[in-house]
Amino acid sequence: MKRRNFLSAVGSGVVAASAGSISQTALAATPSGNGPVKLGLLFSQSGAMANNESLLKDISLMTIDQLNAKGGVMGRKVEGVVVDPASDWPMYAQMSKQLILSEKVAAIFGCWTSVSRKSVLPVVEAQDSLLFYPLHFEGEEQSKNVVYLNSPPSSSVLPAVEYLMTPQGGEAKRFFMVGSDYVWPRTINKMLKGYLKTKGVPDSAIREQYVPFSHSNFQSIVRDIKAFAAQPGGQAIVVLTVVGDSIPAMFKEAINQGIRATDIPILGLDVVDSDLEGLDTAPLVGHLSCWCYFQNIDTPANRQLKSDWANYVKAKQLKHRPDMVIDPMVSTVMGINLWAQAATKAKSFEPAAVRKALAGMTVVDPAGYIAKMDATNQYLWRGTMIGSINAKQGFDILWKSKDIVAPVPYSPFVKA
Amino acid sequence: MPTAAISLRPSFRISSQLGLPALLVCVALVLPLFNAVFPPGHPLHLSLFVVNLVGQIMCFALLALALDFVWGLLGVLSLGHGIFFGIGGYVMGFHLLNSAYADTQVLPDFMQFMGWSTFPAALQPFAELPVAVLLGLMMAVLVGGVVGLAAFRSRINGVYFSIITQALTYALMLLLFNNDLGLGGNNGLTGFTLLAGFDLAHESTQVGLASLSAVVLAAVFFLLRWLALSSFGQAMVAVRDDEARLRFLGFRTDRIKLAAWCLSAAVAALAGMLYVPQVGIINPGIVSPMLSVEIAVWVAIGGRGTLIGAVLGAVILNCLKFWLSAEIPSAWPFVLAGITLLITVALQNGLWGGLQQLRALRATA
Amino acid sequence: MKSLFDRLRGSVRWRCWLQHVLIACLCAPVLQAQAAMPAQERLSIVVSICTDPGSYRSAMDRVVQVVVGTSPEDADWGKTFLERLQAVALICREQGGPVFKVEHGHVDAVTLEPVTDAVDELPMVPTLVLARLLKNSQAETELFSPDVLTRRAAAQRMSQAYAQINEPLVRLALSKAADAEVMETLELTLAKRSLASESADLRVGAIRAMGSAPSEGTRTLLKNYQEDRPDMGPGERAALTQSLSQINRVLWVGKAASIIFSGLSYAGVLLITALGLSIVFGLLGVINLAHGEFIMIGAYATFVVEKWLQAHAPGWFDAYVFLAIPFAFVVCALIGMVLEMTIIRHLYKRPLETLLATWAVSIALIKLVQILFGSQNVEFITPSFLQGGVQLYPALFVTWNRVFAIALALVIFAAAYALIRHTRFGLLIRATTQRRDTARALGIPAPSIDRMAFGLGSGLAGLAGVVLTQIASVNPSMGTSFVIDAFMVVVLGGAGSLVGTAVSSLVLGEVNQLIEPFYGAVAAKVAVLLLIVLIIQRRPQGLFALKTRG
Repeated sequence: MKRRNFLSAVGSGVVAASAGSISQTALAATPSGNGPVKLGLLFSQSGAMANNESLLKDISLMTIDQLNAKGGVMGRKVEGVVVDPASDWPMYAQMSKQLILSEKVAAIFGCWTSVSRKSVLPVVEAQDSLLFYPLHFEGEEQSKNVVYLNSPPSSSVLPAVEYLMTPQGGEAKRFFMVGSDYVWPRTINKMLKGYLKTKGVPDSAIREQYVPFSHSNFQSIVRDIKAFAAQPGGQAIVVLTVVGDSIPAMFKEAINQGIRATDIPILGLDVVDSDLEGLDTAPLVGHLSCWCYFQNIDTPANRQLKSDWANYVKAKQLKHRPDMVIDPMVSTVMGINLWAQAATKAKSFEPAAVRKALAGMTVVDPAGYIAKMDATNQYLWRGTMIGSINAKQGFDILWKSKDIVAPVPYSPFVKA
Repeated sequence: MPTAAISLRPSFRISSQLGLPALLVCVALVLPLFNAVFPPGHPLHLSLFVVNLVGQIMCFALLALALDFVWGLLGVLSLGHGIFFGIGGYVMGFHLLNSAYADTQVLPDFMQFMGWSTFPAALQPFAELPVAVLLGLMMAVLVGGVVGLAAFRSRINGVYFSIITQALTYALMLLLFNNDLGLGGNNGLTGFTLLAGFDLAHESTQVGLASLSAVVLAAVFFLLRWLALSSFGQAMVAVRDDEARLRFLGFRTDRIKLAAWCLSAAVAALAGMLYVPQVGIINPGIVSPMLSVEIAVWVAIGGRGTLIGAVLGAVILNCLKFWLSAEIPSAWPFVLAGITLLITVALQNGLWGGLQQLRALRATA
Repeated sequence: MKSLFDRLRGSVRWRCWLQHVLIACLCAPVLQAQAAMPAQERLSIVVSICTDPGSYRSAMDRVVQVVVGTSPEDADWGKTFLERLQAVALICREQGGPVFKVEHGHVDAVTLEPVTDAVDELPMVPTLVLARLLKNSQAETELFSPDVLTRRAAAQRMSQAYAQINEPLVRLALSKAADAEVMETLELTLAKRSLASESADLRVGAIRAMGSAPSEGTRTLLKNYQEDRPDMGPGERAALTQSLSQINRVLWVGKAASIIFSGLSYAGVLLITALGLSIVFGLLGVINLAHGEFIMIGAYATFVVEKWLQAHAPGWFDAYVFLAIPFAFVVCALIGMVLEMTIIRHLYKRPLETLLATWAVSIALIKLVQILFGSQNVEFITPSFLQGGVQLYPALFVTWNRVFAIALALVIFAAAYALIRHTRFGLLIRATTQRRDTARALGIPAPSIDRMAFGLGSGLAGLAGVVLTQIASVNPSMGTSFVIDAFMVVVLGGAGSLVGTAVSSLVLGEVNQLIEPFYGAVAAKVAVLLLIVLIIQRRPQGLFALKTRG
């Protein structure tokens, strides 16, 4: 009898202890109170997305340090709560629940892939919290619980494809679309096909192919691209929507099989400087990408940001390159500053109040614009730039828009 | 040779005493209710997040039970039980998609970006909950039956069987990741709103689901325990210990194996069905080879063959996992590896089996 | 027997001979032209590049004329201009005239004199159109280079870009050409252009020339021709059908060969990853779920060697793969032996526990490597002798890294086979696994042999990692994607049989690559897995069964 009670007590004790340890942290500071105000940082530090998302985590921490150095927000210090969803999409949902319910964060900054954002979406909507999303994406979404800090296709993909179809851009008439198999590439390609139809491009001039996440054997795909380009009908281009590890694998195969930008330009929509690290980019010169920001732009705000980042990396001895700043990092910095401004204006950290205060707010964009939050749909108005890969694992700016561009959440080219 | 020596054969015995299991069942049933009974701020109040975790752990414990039934009692190690868990989960997902569509008239995300305009006919049979549950169980039994028939008929045993189940689970995962099949692909199935008329986002629904998982766990536990102590269970143990002899004695061992295997598949599918509404998303990662091996690790650590050991192993390891992943994320794999190595090398009967051995030793001493 | 092309070349050539002479005479004045070009001329070229996209073509043509025809000083300027433009180093200033960016500062774009004032603007980035023109122009200037390999490459470029070339210039180059390959390529270029000629004979000649130089490009040209001219003469039609069928035949063969080649490359990967497992699983009966992690450790060992050579001995950098081979083997063999000594040794009679224990080791190893090296992909710089590839046959382009991987896989397999079959050590291993007690009675230390065999298997896995660095992506979880395939290969081939492993990897590799072009990579993988399960139904012991321990 005694042993049985002891054992059952141990059993329930183990469960209660772990439950207790989690609920204990819940007794910590809430958005209303006197302790530090917490921001959730939902970025993977392991798995396929670790390379990219850990950059965002670290620049968030740097921006939070800068906020605190200026006295915090409304007199309270800001604390970044770092969790690691390990590139596992259901874990993003789980961790966002943990951040909102346990840690009681005022807002979440997180996600890179659209899949992870879609996992978190029901959670932030159910709990009426705020997710600041720093990546360009496929649009077709407008939730009052998400702040979209980067561009939908209308301000990124379409300008780039339009450029490539002009005489200066090479008069592209045939399109080979290669993408990772998930929501972002599928939606982008669907929209592109709709757009190209309105331009009179026949179905035979379009090819679509999808590969699993982290796929690295592009031998037969590159062969198909070469065969496609040799067919009649005009200049062929590749619209590349693979992500993560697949990008360097695709480029390496293209280099090895002799594809050059002067023959078949590749428009890599998710390619950033970190994907080119370790590659010899001399044979890749001329391939394109488009974002709201490239680090070569010379403005005082950008110079400041780059030197802050370089100093931060050296001071904390991080494993990142001190001389590399990519668009999603800039979006994250602007997002945190926007949140701080909005909370100060609303005199509250409650997501509903912050959301109201965000409408119409402006913030300095290191790319040389004044970015502006839309009045109704929570998209951030940014500029558009098209970059061309150079021989130093970076991008040269081929074209940039004169001013910020109105984002279009729902594309007219996506038909059900 | 001292007569009090412990037999070298592991003593996978189901204790015929009811006391401890009953006590644990009561604990399980009561825990989710702490959220409802005690107000927030009370030290014994469990937040929704924790209740949700408890519910998920119950589902994992159910899954571990299913595996222990075939591994501990029958001696067949399956490293692919994730397949049945996934089947149950996806079927429940189809049902939830149906009810979400009936509720909101908005097509799920993955259908929108695939360019579909109407709700696919293939998913409509899952609209009613009882039908969906039945279909899910049937599909799991069917798949299990096919795999079992193919394997047991050709006498594929032991490690070959385990490797093949791993390969099958890997193949299923690859298939599910492919968007062309229309099963959500990498996105998984999301956007669930209602379950049997209850709003999934509401706190009371989640508490109810967690309690339901506990009830189902208790019920299945007693059912499997009753089976194990019956003559069917003895036949299973006989198959595990010496199949050839049993066959020569005239028993149809492949039928016994097939029956136990299909039952286990159904239980695993049931666990999947309970799991999905609590997590709110199902994604091909659930069918990953790694998760299927983890199930075996839970059972091994808890003590295979004892049924209680499986539940214990699943509960302890998942609590540890959730706690450590939040506190010290980089330590969890080492802790798991260390415990697994310890159990496999030193404590071969797992925690519960070890306790039983200790008790037997004390009894004879 | 003279080829059709040679015969035609003869007949076409004497007609064109007159043309060539005429052009040479016409160009001669250009060649002996101005002693020095006025600065205005240079400035106008640079300004039109800076400001007027519509004038790119004519500006480029003028530059080529400068490089090819005028004084050495102007030719140097022209070459510098082309080179600086391509290196994204031309800065078009609003005030002060254009400059080139050079290593230490800037020089004036017209006079090439150093410029001292500060330059703020960013260089002009060539658009794709300008980049194409640049490439063609550079090739046009290289047609006259003293080095024959450069001339050949330039001629290839001319053939590729036949629609945009400067025809008189190409004819001039042809008239001066001495190398047979250069002449052939330039003639093909001109033939492509003469598909649009007025003379039917020239057109027929061009069609026949296309037929003798089969490629996807020439097929496209002929198909276009077919569509554009429904009313062609019978002679043309006959030549067209003959050429098209010739090209189609050649391309079909090439495509089939390239599928076989990819299958070989995939089979090579399967072979080396499964080899170590065949020894460990087949001969020792140990299920090593950490096998994938040994592959991964081998790849990371290669990374360590690469970085070390980069830092300490850059001259030897290209040999890093070869130096990594013994290093990775030793590292993985040692880790394997430690693993065997501490864990596996206790679990020999319990395969299911071995499975779980090695799984535990695998997750610990993955996390360890993640902590040490980070979880992102590790990029390897391909050694210079493995970069690029060669067009062996029309539609068959082989990349050197895959050829190397296949060759290395075969060498490693041969070495392992020789070791097991023909050395004393291999004999001891075979003896211990087939008749353990007899072997021990003869004084063979069975536990040590077990340990060394396990070390051998792990070392082979490490070698697989070295080979994979050139063709697959390397990150801490790369092992998991290879281990299931490796097990399937071993199960199908028959545990313990090295030949079985080789045969089954070949079969599985080819089947996978045959299905992939039609149904995609995922379907191919799934189909292969199901195929194996079906075969195992019929023959549970695998294709080449061997007696193993227990």
